[in-house]
Amino acid sequence: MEGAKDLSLYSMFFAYLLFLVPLGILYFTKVKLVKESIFSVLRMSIQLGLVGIYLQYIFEWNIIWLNIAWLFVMIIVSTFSIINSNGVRKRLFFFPIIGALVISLFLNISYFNYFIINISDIFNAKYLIPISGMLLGNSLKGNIIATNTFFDYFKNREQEYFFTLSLGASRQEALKPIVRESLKRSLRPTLASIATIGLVSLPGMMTGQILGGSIPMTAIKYQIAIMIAIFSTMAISIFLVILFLKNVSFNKFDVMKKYIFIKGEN
Amino acid sequence: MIKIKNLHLSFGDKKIFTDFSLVIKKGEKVLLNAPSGKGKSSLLKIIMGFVKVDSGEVYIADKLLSPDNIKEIRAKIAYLPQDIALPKMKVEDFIKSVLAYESNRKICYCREQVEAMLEDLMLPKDTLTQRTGSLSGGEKQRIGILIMQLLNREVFLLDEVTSALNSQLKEFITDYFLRMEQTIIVVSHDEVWCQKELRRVEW
Repeated sequence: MEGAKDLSLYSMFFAYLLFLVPLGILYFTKVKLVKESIFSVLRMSIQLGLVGIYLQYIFEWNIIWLNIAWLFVMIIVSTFSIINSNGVRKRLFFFPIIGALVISLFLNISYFNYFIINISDIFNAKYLIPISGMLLGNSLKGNIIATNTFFDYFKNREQEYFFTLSLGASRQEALKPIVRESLKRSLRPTLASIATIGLVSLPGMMTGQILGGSIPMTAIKYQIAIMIAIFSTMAISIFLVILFLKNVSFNKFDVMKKYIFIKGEN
Repeated sequence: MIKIKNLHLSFGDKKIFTDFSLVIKKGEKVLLNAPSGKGKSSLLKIIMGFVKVDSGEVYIADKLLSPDNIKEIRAKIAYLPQDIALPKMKVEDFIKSVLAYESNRKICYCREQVEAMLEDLMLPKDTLTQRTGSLSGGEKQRIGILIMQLLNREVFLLDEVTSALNSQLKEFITDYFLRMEQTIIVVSHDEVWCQKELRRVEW
């Protein structure tokens, strides 16, 4: 593999120049997103710049514990992201969510690297970090949708849950349809993108590989494997996150504890 | 049947109940009458164990409401809110799904019995084959009542059950409940209940 052509400062200048177009549209249509857009692009540039430096070293050194430590940083950031999107208390939900993410990610990345990529050194930085990033990034989106669906149900439709309990359902029985709904809503967008992949979008991984010099068929095989792994990681992590958060969210009367929500968020 | 002793409840700074007590006998029909925001609906939820009180005791059939016997207590009570949301499926399948809950498995589904109950509630027999999504609010309400009857509930807690119904149906439903042997506790702003003979509890 010869690797993708490097981008010079001159090229990067043109990349940022392109950003002026959406910025101009937002400015002239008075959509108040100009500041936010500039902030987002700046943040992305700084984040990626730092990660680029960090990854360069991590790939070069390739020390197992350091690779795993970086994975934990990614998982912790995802955990806080899920907690914050729901306005719930960190103290209560940190361990259930991080536990679910760790189990689902480690199961899937180990399986992927060992059986699919077929490497014995499954914690090799070159494979571990980018693939975990893809698995975790998608799981993060899915878990935000799933947990929002779950908690929103109790913010807006708790009466329905009470009615189900009064029909004789146990907590588990009454929660079943809510869990099902959360899973369905969070997995559906990924299923839709799996079904249209290649026709509508060429995913980043494939594009990257092709630019990096792989033949399209290799890129496609990787893409199929990664999509299935993403779907698997999402399903396992969402299932476990909901399972674990069910255990800390209810009191002994099967009612969702009110203090799990940070004041002003519910 | 229901004994509430020295109940205290506040939501934040707002005091809802201060040393509130109430005794309701078996078979009694009670209308809870208090200004809005004074905890009428909350009282029904307290009886069901859905709202945690600051202090006080609630007894249902001489049993203290506690996590240990909450299932047993809920199995005696029917809680009917204003909007009954039924999962999207055929009415008959929904009734069967309720009877499939572990605590309801002793109760058998008998189509003839259900059809007779539908008739009592002024619902056509073919309601069973309709989908829940096609039912009106009043029809859903009556399906709720039917299921609670099927589950042999001893106490009915009715939270604004008649507010979305037309006047003819309001009259029918109130009379239906007042004819029942079970204990009935009603929260309603509806005139129709005020015209009926039932015990008024005011605070």
